[in-house]
Amino acid sequence: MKTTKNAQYIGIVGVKGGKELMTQRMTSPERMMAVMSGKRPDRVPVIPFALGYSSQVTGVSLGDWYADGDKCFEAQFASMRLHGYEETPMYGYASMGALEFGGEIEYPYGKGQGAPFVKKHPVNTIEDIDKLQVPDFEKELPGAYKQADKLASRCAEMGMPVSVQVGSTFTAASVVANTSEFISWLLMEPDAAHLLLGKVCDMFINAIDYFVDKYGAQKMLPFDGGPSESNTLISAEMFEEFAYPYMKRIHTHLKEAGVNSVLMHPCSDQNKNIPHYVKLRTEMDWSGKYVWLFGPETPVKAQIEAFGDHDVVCGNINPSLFLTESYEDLVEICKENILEGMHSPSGYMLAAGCEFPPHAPPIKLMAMMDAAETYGRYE
Amino acid sequence: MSDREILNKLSDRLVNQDIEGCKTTTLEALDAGISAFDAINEGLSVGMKIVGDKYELGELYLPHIMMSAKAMDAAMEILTPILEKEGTGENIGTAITFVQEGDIHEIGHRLVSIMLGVNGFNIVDLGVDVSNKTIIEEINKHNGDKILLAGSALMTTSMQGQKDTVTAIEEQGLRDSVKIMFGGAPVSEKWVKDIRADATAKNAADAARVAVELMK
Repeated sequence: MKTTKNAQYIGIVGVKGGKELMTQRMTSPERMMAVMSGKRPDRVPVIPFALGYSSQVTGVSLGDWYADGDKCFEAQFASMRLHGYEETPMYGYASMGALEFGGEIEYPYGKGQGAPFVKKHPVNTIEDIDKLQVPDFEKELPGAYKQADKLASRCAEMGMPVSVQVGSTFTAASVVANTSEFISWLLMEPDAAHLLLGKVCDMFINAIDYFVDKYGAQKMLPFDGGPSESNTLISAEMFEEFAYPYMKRIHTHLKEAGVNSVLMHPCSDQNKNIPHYVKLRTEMDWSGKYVWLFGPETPVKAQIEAFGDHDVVCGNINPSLFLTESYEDLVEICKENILEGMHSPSGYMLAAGCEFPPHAPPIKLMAMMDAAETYGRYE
Repeated sequence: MSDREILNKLSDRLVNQDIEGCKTTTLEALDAGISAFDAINEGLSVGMKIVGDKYELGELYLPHIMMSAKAMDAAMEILTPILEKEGTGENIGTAITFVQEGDIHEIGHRLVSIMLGVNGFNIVDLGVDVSNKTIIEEINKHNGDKILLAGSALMTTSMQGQKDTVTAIEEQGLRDSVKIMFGGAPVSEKWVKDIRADATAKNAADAARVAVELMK
């Protein structure tokens, strides 16, 4: 699929039809620009976290969507045009890291599969960590970063932010290594765990350097987040010891590179980690903007208390509700979330608390849009 | 040291994730004439239940549980051959545990299998990425037993397969032979009800409690 010039992101309102033009003051990019610069948009933006879902829109398989950065871009771009939401295309998945360090992954072509998954971990023993080579981005992009770069170049070409995965180090380390072994090393072999985390962090630093150098820091909206550091798996104390130092190193590097906004997704239940996320800004003395997209376990009110003074917080609808609830019920659920968050001092967006279910019917996403249009207007 | 003190020590070793200590205390229990069945039932299982409770209370986390599970495995290596000779006594039923087709997230599934095992279930662990065909075959193998099917899914895509599993069991006329529990991050009580399964649970320790209730 080729994207024509007049369908470019900067002119997207042109494809929405006359009625939309009459009732909406802002285009999607204007709406996002307003929120990110601390101004009030016409309505709350919608970031449905619709990744694999968009494969339905262009009719590509989920496997091809992940295996080909161009198809991935085109599907997400078509989906944003179709639904009129504000999320721009991005590339990434929870198991990123394994392929890049020389392991094997499989793309999700089979029944029940929702994202690429690890077939062979590059690290199974502590000795493997010593031998592990940090991917070099200067010669050839490692693993899935090739696809991420294809998508990034399409985004940059159309004036959209470049969203690439630059964390989390902890989650990536938990898939570079055999996950059970890695979890055990946190208690039994902490030095080995730190050695691995350091190498994974080095990879993300290399990724930041590559993408900032190619696209410019101001165009970047990097993505950091993952489920393995959730409090269903590790304690806040373990987070402080094994996740926080590497997160801080990455964010300090982003700051020094001139990146001024980051999309954060503390996945699943990370309520006990919130104080560490709060201190990140203070310790770095950073004046940039975070967009916080917590899992549904974190109330919007708690996010506003922790981050509302500086950052954009996101409503976080439980993704499985998009499979179990009706359109009418979802509009009500979204309405409650919008009313809770829309007056957050530094901005709010309506989102799914993790990836929007890839096989959910389109009407369920329409419920988010309709709720934002009906209950999320600031006029 | 009395038998009770040795069994308490065995439980403590497991709670404290002491793998070597668990091995030596198991041998100590056998030397003292404690049966393998009692060492499991009144020592290791008690310890693992304490671990489960502490996990629910947020006092212990996954790395601790996994180390305790390793300590349990170390003890079971010693006890299993003896147990086979002694017999295991009565159990609550057979739990067929698995991760849904298309899903390879095994940690939660392993914890559920462990917690069901220490609560008296005979465990048939089918592993990850399990097809409905395999599940049906396994139910048929155990037909006549009290069967619990305990499946997990960590993604919305694999969760949707749980509906097909229930349908497949119904189509084979096996629905009355089996109690069905599903768990995993996206699984809710509403979902379980909608797909005509019997129960869900919020974590591995809760799963054991719910499963025991379900089999009554």
